[in-house]
Amino acid sequence: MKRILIVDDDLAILDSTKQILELEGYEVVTAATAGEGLSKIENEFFNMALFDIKLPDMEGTELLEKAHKMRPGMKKIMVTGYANLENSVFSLNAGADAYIMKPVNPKDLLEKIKEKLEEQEKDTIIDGEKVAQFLEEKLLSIR
Amino acid sequence: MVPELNFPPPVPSREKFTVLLVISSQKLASLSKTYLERPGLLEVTVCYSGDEAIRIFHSHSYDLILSDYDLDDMDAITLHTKLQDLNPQKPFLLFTITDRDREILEKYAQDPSAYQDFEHDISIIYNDQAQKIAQAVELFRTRNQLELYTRRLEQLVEERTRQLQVAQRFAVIGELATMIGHDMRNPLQVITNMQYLLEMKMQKMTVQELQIFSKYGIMEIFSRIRDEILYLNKIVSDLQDYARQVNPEKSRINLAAFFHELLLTISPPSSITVIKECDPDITVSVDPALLTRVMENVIMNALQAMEKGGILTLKSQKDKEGFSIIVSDTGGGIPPESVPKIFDPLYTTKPKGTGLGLSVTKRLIEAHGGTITLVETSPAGTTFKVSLPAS
Repeated sequence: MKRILIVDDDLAILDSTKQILELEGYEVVTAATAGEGLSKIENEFFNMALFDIKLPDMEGTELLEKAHKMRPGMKKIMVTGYANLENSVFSLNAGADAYIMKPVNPKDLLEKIKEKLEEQEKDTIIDGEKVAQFLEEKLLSIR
Repeated sequence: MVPELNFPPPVPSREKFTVLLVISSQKLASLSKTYLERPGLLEVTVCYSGDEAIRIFHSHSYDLILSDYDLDDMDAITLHTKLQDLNPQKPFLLFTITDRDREILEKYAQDPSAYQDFEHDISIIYNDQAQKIAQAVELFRTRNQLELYTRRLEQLVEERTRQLQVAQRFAVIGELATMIGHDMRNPLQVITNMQYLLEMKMQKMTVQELQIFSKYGIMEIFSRIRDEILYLNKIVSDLQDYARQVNPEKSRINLAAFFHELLLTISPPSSITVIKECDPDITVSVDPALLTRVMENVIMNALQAMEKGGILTLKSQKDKEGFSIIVSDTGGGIPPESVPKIFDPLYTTKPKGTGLGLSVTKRLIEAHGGTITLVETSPAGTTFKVSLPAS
């Protein structure tokens, strides 16, 4: 089961988004602050995280950078009410995989999540193949 | 740079001032006309009574009225008052000379050959009058000119003030739009989420459970709520679009294919006949998402204008600067008083309009370096033209 973390200071957003994602069969964990989110990212495994761009203790973009350092393979989607080019460019450069405007149609959100998770699966398969190839080469050189 | 104010000379040279001379003494009248006209400055028309002067004044224009004090039918003050009722601005001079001078004039007028010595004095008297007249007219014209410049300046100030107010208003709307868009997005997101959950859960209900819902009309209520959420979403996205910086991300698209897709999403009602006149070969470089918003707005407006059915025409054509898209409807047209305001933010005549649709459309188009114009509107229909540069 894919695990998704949602970080948003609005509890109603957390709760309703969690319910929607759970209906689709995802396992969902929520955090209301960036600090809480970071500690969960550090201690647990997530396939994906959704970050609100405005958080009480930290800018969403800063959270993104820190999360990206800890877990480069985790898919990260920024959710924002502001349409701001600097934010979106920065986010994409800082390792975000997608940038979504609120209010978002839940169907579109689910589609985006599905798309990014599929990408991740492909990446993992390719990475796995690379690792296998690397190991094989190493083993051959040892022999 | 300080703008140079070139005041034209108030009096064009060599122009003769026209004077209406009102004087009851016939002899003095012809003498005065001759002498006043002698320096070549004036053209004198003579009349012999106040009433006659008023009559002439009705139909002719003079630069100045010169009146003797005692007239047969009234005095000069009464005449002045009456003329002022007709034209309060017109310069009016009294034919004022000393009693001695008047005596000279009267004697000379009686018998010029007997008083030839007076001619020099008479010249002086009339030269003096002619100069007074010319000065009065010049003063009057200068005042008029000044008033004209003052008016023009006032108009300019008024115009600039109005432009500034409009700009300020738009700036405030922009700030408000950002604020409202931001504050509303979270609750709206939650409502949208809940609406989605509601539908998902209803899909899982058994037939019996759903029957209870329809018995109490709950489905209709939910569907009403869903429609209003869609509307609220539109308001917020309009507000956000209005406040947003527009940065087009261009890619090449085929216009005919674009229209085909667009009409599929909009799906006009069956009462609307759609005519497409698109060159299948036009490919353009635009931000497809922005162009979609623009065309959606313009087409939705057209459809709303044709609630009882009609013809929607979409034309696209290449032209000198790039290409243009023409959208026409056969709706009732835009009322003339609304035409100048249709692109203003928050201006709407629709009960459920935000007044942001066309102003957002305009912003998006302009961000593409293009223009949107109202080509024509009449009770027979309305045509908008969107022009975009080639690249």
